[in-house]
Amino acid sequence: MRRTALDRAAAVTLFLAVFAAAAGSSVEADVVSVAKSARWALLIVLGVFALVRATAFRSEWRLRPWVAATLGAYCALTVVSAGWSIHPRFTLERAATVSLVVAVTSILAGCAALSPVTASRLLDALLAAVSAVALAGFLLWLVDPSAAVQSASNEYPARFQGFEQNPNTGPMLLAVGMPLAFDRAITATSGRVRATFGLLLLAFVAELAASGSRGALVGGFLALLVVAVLAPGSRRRRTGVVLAVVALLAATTWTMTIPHALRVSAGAAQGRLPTASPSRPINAELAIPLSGEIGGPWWLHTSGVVQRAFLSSSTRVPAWRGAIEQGFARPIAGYGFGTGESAFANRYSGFHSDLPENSYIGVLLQVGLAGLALFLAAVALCLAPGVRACIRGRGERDRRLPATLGAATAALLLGVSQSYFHAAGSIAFLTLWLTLLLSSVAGIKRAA
Amino acid sequence: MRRRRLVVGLLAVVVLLALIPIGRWERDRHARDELAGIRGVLAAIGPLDQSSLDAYRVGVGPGMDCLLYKRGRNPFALELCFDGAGRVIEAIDRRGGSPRISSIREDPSASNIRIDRAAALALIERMKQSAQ
Repeated sequence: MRRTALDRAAAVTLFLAVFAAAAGSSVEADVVSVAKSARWALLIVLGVFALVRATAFRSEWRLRPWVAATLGAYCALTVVSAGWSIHPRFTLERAATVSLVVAVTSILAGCAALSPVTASRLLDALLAAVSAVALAGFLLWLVDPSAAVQSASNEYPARFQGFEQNPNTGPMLLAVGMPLAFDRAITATSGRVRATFGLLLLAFVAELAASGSRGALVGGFLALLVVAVLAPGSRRRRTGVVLAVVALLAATTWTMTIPHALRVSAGAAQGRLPTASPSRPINAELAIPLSGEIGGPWWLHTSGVVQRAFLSSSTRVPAWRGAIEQGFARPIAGYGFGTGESAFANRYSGFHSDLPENSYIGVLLQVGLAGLALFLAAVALCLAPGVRACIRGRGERDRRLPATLGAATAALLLGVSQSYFHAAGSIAFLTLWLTLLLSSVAGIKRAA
Repeated sequence: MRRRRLVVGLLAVVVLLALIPIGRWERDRHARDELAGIRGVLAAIGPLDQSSLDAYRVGVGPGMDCLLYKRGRNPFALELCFDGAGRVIEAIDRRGGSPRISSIREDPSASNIRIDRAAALALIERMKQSAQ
């Protein structure tokens, strides 16, 4: 009874913490100011519930020593990097918040090691939070469409951003929610439940398609494939589910190609750039802006109007290349954890971010190859037990393991197109570590 | 088993602590390399007040102001950027087919190259007025 009450309290707090993280980057300014402080308070409350649960039932608490050691070493490295950071105080603040999230999710996952019901409650809390954020975005669109949609420009078509400040933010959570809803749908025993979660999945996919977020599309659908492949059932059934996912992916991708950016007039496309002359010095920012120099129109002798195709990666790849080059200027230890915005200089035409928009490159930039190796080792050590348990058939006992691995896959793939592994307040950060750590405790036996 | 864990733990602590001097050495080496590039551009420019001074920037990036010098037909061939304390923190050489950027903008305090900021701002002001 007490265990159930503590589990439920943790699940409700987790729901609120994830929703608060989403609200912390909301398009509604009033919501942001409240949510930004609430998310830390909720995280601490979640940590307290997790600690009480772990202490009260300490004989059931398990975490694999190598996972704990590697995560501890990674967190210690983020703290120690203040010793060479370009902003030591900022590094310490970021390292402390990231370590707090890793600690809280480790304690929670340890509580769920021998209790699949606890794990299931936590995953349902995540799914509920994603649903609430999706619903909030939809309601905002009904009430104030101009706030929920980013207007079309010469570069982008109109994009649904829902409750968030950016069309790429909400879909990060949607991509993580997709495998959770999908798993619920395909493992449901009643038709009504299956239909409910199937519709929820379609709602997530619809919002994601309207947002035009390609990184979330890839992450969300690969996560669905992970769930489909690892789900229990006959090979024939799994093949059918995989084909259904591929068909839905094809339909969603096609839908995302329908809206177009604003047309560029012929005059603008052929327009000449201002140039300096000895008699009239000019503000160079008008001709060759520092933030868009590389690949910019002055060098390429073009108009500077960027027209993006759906599969185009022309603006992001040069920025990644540049960030990697910057990273290798301080290759072993990096510029200091959490200093991504300062260390990365955006000089790339058409690239609109102060971060490289790739979390792995971000980790390299901040804590060097040493930090990236530790981070990847921690991720691998977390994923391995989950994958092993699924392959060996223990998935029958940990019924939600495919969903856990699917959500972790989505969160890790989001890191390829978004910079968020350094930001504990980010919309998907809590989900990333919770799903990874739930995977890490898979297959732990009571006698161990 | 316990002893093995203790040894592994101690080893991890030693490696982590060893990263501090390595990180600082990397920081100093990076600053040295970038400052050498900035000095090269400064030498190529010569005196700041000269007839090839052709363009400017104000308040860009982390609050930098910049002076740009013409070479040949390239109006933006050499660029020098300085912060509010007069520290030169970025220089760009555009005389080739692509920009060669030397920058310490992420850590301005590492720059020991200074210019007379008031004189540089006066040059920018003069350019602004002659452009009107």
